Amino acid sequence: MHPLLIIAARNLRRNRKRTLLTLGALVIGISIMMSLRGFINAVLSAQIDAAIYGYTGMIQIHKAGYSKNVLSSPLDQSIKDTPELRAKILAVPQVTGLAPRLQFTGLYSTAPDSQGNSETSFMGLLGIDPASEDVVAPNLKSWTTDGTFLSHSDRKEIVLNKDLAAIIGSKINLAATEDQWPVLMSSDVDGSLNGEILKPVGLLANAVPGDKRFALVPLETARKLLRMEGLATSYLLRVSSLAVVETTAQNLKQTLGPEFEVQTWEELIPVLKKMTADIGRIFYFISIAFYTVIILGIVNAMFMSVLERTREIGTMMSVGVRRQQIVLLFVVEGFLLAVVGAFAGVLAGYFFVFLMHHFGIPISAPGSTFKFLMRPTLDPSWVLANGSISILFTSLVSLWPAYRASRLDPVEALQAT
Amino acid sequence: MNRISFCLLLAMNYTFNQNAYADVTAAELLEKYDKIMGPAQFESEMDMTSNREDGTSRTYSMKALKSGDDKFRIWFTSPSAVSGQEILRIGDNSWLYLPNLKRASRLANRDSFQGGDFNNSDILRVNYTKDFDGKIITSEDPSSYKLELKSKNKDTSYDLIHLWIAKSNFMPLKGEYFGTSGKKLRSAEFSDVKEYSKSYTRPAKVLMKNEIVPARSSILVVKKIKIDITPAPQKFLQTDLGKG
Repeated sequence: MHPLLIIAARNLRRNRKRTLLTLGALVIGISIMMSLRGFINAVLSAQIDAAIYGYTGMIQIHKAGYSKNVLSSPLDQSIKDTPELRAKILAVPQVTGLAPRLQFTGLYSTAPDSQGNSETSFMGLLGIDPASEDVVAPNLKSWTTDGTFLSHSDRKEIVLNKDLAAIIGSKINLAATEDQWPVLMSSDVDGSLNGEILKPVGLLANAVPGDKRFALVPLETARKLLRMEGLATSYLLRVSSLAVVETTAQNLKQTLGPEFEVQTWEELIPVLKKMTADIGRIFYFISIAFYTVIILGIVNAMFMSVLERTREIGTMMSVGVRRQQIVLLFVVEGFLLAVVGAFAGVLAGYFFVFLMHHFGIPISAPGSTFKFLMRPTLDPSWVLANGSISILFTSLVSLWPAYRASRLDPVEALQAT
Repeated sequence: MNRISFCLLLAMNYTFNQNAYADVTAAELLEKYDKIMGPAQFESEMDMTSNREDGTSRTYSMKALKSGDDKFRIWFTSPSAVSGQEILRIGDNSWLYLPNLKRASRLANRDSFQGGDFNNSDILRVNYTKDFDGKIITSEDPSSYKLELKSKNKDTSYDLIHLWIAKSNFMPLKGEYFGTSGKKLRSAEFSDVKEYSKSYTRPAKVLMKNEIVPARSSILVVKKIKIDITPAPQKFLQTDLGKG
């Protein structure tokens, strides 16, 4: 080992209190930054998971032009839900599940009370097949707060958003008879009005921010109401992992051709992608501020060290140690501190994140009443980059006190008390 | 002296009357419009055809019965998808009766009438005098009056209407309908003026164009209409729905 390294290590060991204090600043700083990052990652992924596994699925397929016309007449732009088309999509590598949906709007009227009054509300609806949703959007079911989820694709049931149900005074009464059930009216595919009496079986929490005028009905019931037998407005797909979403979407586009449009969850909810980027940028500035404070503390400690060791520096110079060697000695001390501090900090940081991950943090997404258990995680490449940057900066800033030490006049330094 | 003042009075009276005939007021024009497009009571047979942007169209046939300002009932006779459906309006409330459910549910005034480009109140609630404040503004066409109608209450489906009325016979010619944002939502053309009886003449055809989705439009044709009737009051009870 280089004698300079041995001397530097010995110097650090000699003043244990100060070394521990400086290391403490680094360890605490780095571990806090890591915990914070882990927490933010958890918030982001909780939002993304809630959206993907509870609402949009990973990929959606529509008839070409659907997204453009969704406000005027989405029912015209439907997919013929045939076994052949399903097989073709499921044959694309990485596609592991498919669920057809019918998206439409309707008027919901509660059964008239004894005075003949009833409440009516306009709402957005999804016709879903509960069994296939279990594969592509398994969390949807878990948002049921009262009653049960839709039981089967062809039952006359409805699951309402909890807030909407409160507004229109629709209660879940599983014992109610059919004359007490509400009516769902909608314009069918040709524009003619149609209606269906449905049993409200459950209420849904607001798990994703969005319109609260929302309800779910079984797919076959929706098809009957809209007179759209064998049709769907969208297919939701599950693929083997989030990492292959983009490539699978490209493969699907090639397989299906221009007749269909294929969108990934990032295209379906662009706000999530933007939010991830925005938070990354904010975190970048927080990191800079945080590290500046830590590093200033380290520089301060090293200046103290130079001041205390003035006589020692004078002795070294008088026995012929060169000024560059003095600079190097202090820089190596700073480097050693940084390496040990960064390692300990990363270890401590991982420990905190592990604890948070293991126990989970209950939190609800903005605008939602549903509580998630957040599980903080860290990206190893981010940790590596952060650790390296803190080592590099700590070593670099130690140049300043080191330079000051090397400029001491040996005669005056020896006289210092 | 007396004779002179009498002549003067006569002359003044004449001038006033002349003015009154030349400059009809907005309120009078609205009243005329309501009398033509929504007589106090009538019984009619109408067809509404909606043309959709994909090139398809669908024609709905119906019978309608109106009594007074606030009672209206419709029976749909074809196509089979809506045959047996009925609409009843009493005051501000409207209900749709669905024969397969044997249940009536509330409809909103602003909702589209059977998926076409008329909304429910265009058909069920023709009473501009009650719902709008009118003002005569300069018309681009000297043979017509142009009315600007501003909504009086939030229940109306349009915030502002421009209505052109023929000076010769007070028949409506065209209309433009705007939403709260000032956006033009619909425009209408009234045509085929027909004398249904000695005392009643109106445009037989109303073409309603959708200004938001320009490929869409709907046409309402009045095939038969009788205004000298006395509607039975029980036809406007919720309990009568589904009984024909």
